[in-house]
Amino acid sequence: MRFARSEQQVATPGHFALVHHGEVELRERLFDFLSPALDDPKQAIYLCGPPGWASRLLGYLEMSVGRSLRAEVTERRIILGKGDRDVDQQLQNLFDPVRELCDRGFSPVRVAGPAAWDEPGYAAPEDFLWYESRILRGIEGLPVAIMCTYDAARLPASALLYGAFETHSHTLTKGVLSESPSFLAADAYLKTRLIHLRWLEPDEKRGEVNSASEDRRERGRRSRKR
Amino acid sequence: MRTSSGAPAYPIPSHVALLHYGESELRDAVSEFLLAGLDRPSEALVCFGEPGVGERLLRYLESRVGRDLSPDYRAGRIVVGAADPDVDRQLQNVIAPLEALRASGFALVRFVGIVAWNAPDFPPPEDFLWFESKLNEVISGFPVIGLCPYDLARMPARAIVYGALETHPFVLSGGALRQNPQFMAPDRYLRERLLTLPWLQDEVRTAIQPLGGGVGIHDRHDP
Repeated sequence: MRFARSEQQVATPGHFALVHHGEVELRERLFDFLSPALDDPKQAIYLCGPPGWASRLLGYLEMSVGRSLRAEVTERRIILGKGDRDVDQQLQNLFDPVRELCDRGFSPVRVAGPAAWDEPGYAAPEDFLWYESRILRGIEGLPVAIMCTYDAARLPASALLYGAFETHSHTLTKGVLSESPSFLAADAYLKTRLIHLRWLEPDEKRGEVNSASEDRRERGRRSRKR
Repeated sequence: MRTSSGAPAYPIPSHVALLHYGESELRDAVSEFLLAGLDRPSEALVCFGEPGVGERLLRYLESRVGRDLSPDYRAGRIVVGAADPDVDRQLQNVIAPLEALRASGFALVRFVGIVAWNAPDFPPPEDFLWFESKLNEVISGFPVIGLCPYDLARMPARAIVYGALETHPFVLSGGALRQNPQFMAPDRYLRERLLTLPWLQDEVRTAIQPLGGGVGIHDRHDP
């Protein structure tokens, strides 16, 4: 699957992390990844993220291509979805429309959605990490490429390392797609990372944790700890 | 990249980013790294960081080995160094002990430099990134393993992307040492990253906004 502005290609099924800095770069990379689908009626797009983000991404894309994409949304060649506080529901919210698009014959299907961390109304970080780790398995055999966007200007470092680099087989940084040597397949990720997340351990000092102020101990109790 | 004993097999010289979460993981990883050298008289140790941090690392090590290490410190086999807000002085604070230890005949120096970001006794982030990249050239002439711990619990993501991942050829995480495909050689890093750091470009954009926009230039220590 090609990009608009660069020669590199992403294989399907694929799940990669875009590491970017701020919204200007996000807009550029979104256009690079998604716009080839607009020129090819056989391709489709699914946009997702925390509430409101799918519309926002659509707005970015419209701004970049200089036209309204309402017609594509109406005919459901572009589907706007959303995440959910319940991470099982969030996973379903991703797989259902993606499978619908594949069943309708679209190929490839391009998916984009931002990573959110400690955001109200969204999955808790440890649940979100679980969600990220399960995506690749859920799109096995499908002509789908999913780009999860990680904003280095806003996210804490733990989101980047445990999310972008460990749950995605590839990362896209400064426009260059490369393999992530830290990537862990879903089962290994569960065993070696998720159940050992430091902020869920009761004896870890949290005074200087660079994230929202919510008590992580509480978070640990409501976490699924799969 | 492991030795037959299961310990990470560090190339010499090498510049390694240690990604850890919180103080207890730091204590364990750094103590293990330094302890391997403490048992070998041909090796020297350097503990480096903001003022007071080097001493703290030394205390961790003492606690791990269960003995006073001040004789090794007085003998010059263990060196405690301090960061400096002036990045040129900080570089000199690294090079000077490496030269002295090489002149003393040590076969290997294990150097731990605790990373800070936006800290008053540390170079500003953009200067520190230059320093990290420059270290790859500096250490090429020394028998040294440089370990730079980045704390995921305290650092912003940009410190990890632009610092840990783009200026270190190797990354140590969860006890596993890996070659790092994100690494950029110093001349490329200068050209493609340092000269285009996003937050410096944000400052430029902000500065050229028309007066009355209500926004002034950011503090350069605010990324």
